[in-house]
Amino acid sequence: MAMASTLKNKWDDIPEGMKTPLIVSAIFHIAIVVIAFTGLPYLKRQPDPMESTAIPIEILPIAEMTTTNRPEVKSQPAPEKPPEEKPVVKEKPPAPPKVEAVEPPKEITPPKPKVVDKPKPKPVVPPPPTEKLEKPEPEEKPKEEAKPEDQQDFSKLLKNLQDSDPVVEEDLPESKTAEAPAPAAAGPISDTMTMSELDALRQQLSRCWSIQAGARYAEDLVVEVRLTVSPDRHVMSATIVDQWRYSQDSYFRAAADSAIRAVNSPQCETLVLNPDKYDQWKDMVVTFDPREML
Amino acid sequence: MKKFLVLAFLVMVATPAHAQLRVDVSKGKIEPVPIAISPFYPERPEFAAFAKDIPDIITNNLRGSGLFKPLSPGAFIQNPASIQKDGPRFPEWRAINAQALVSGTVTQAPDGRTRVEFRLWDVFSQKQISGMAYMTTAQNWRRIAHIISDEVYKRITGEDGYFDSRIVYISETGSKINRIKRLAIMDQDGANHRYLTGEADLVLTPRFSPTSQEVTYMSYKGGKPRVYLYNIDTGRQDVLGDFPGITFAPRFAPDGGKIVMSMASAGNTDLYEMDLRSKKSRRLTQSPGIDTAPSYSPDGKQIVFESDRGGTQQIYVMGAGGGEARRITFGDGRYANPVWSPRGDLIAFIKMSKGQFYLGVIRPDGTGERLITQAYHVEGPSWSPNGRVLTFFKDSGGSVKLYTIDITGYNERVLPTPRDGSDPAWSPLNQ
Repeated sequence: MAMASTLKNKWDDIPEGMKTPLIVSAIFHIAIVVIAFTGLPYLKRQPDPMESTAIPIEILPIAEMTTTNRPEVKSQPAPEKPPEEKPVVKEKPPAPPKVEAVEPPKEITPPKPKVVDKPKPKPVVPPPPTEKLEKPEPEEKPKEEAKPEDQQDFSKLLKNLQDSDPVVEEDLPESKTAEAPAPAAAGPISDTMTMSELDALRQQLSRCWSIQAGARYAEDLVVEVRLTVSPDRHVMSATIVDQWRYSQDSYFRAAADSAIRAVNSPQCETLVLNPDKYDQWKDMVVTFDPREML
Repeated sequence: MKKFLVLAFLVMVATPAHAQLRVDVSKGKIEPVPIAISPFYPERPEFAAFAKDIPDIITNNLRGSGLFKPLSPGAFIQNPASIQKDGPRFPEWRAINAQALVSGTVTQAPDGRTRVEFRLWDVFSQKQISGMAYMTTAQNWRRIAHIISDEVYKRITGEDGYFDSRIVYISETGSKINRIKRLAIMDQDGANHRYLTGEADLVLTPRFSPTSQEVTYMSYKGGKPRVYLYNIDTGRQDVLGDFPGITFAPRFAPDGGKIVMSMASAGNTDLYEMDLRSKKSRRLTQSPGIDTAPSYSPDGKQIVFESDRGGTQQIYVMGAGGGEARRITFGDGRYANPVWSPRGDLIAFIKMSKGQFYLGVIRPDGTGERLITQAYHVEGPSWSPNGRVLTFFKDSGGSVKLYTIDITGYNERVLPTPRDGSDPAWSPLNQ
């Protein structure tokens, strides 16, 4: 308090004409001290915000061929080697096939009585089995991959003597999975199935699939099979997508059964798939389409 | 609860959608289905022969179709008694690469007849997919085997079978200038062969009724070529009307109630139909050329025939009641002998071009022509009841033989006959 009253007395002693210059001088001195600590203010416009934007970089492993499910783009470099050259790691298939309780032979009601002799034979019901069927041996292992069987010309299933073109072994066509969802939707690009992986799977399934050539309207017998695959690449379940048609159309049912046999056949028991991409193939739909073959 | 639902919805929305992998397989193999046909289990020693012979017939039938590859019984691990007792041990059948398994038993029914039972198993899915039992007298065992073959064929291919059927044909003997031609009939595999007519009268172009045990054919009985109707069960022959001209190339309508044929009269050959009940006939074509070899579509609404009305021998299709005809063949050479498939999708024909004969098929709209076999002389195509196989004859210059061929153009086989054979006609499935 004493200090304040002393300053007030001194201020009162200053002649009136000096007070204003003294205040201005003090303000300037304070400003100089502040600028000395903080620097001069930047009076121009703000810098371009782009200059400070971070650029995210993802480091990706280089896949063997392409890293997309889309059909091959013409400008892309050609694959160095055909997919079949790729060493296929054949793992020991796991032991027990998926055996649900094998149904005992059902009672069979014949669709129509067959006349066999003058005294008409009646279809009768086979007796139910006396015992359950044996479970498959867990050790039972499928044989190695079938040896390359007599390769047939896959380009034409229907013979025509007018076609004089020589038979040429042709490669599998380009991917037809253009309609497949973009791989980006499924996960990071490095996790998607490569073209070579898809081709290998396609080729494997082709070797297991017997076409119903010559069937009526065979070109309409396109079958979609939904597969659930275990991490060790075995087909755990295979179901026909179009169940209604399966129950109504005997031609379709035969074609569908043929497709199911394909995915269950020993040559396709262990699917050629990259184990690291389990999330990609654990659930898939395989379309068996005979149209190009007819 | 509401909050929980909202939360669940948000979680679902927030989770990135899992894109299901889709793979298109557009190549496959043409390979017959590997099938194991086990000997049947005889419940009594006296059935041992049936238990072996029935599977043998099934094996021959399925192998002959070209669509199945019966595996050698020598590779079978499980015996019939074990299958009967325990059911199939699928891993053992899978180990020999069988995709399907046929098993069965032969027993005696309480009424003394023979009871044959079969089961068809899908080896991969490890379940029974078909099964039937039949009772009959012992002498019918062959027929049982054919019926079982049809059941297996149908379940695996989706199409009706054709094994329980017969073929009527012209049996030929003698020199070229003094040829004896008789009507003969046999099972589709050549068994149970017998002659229907004697050696005195020349017979040609037999055709089976699609609905009954009747055959129509042309005979020179009495020196005049006419169309006859023959009842196989009774052996009775009837002349089919008395026409002013020469009648030939008869063929039944799908309902068996009508016949369409050619009649040559006053230097012109046209098509006529005849109602078999009323015996009334009606002229279907009026062209100045030769119209012949008519054949109904399976729905009976159209007729395919050959005609030279356009200058060369070609194939035409018209309504079953006659009227304007549409030409469907335009290739080089001449086309003849059209026969509509029972399943309706194809028309078989004979093509003559550059000194060779071809058997071909074409769609009824004139597209998709394919030539499936060729020889110095090929003629007389006839469809199996399921429209999958064609029978025909080839004249190699020395002998005339019957053949069968799959419509894919593969699996051409000789059909065994005691003597030369021509003009085969396939029956419908036995009733």
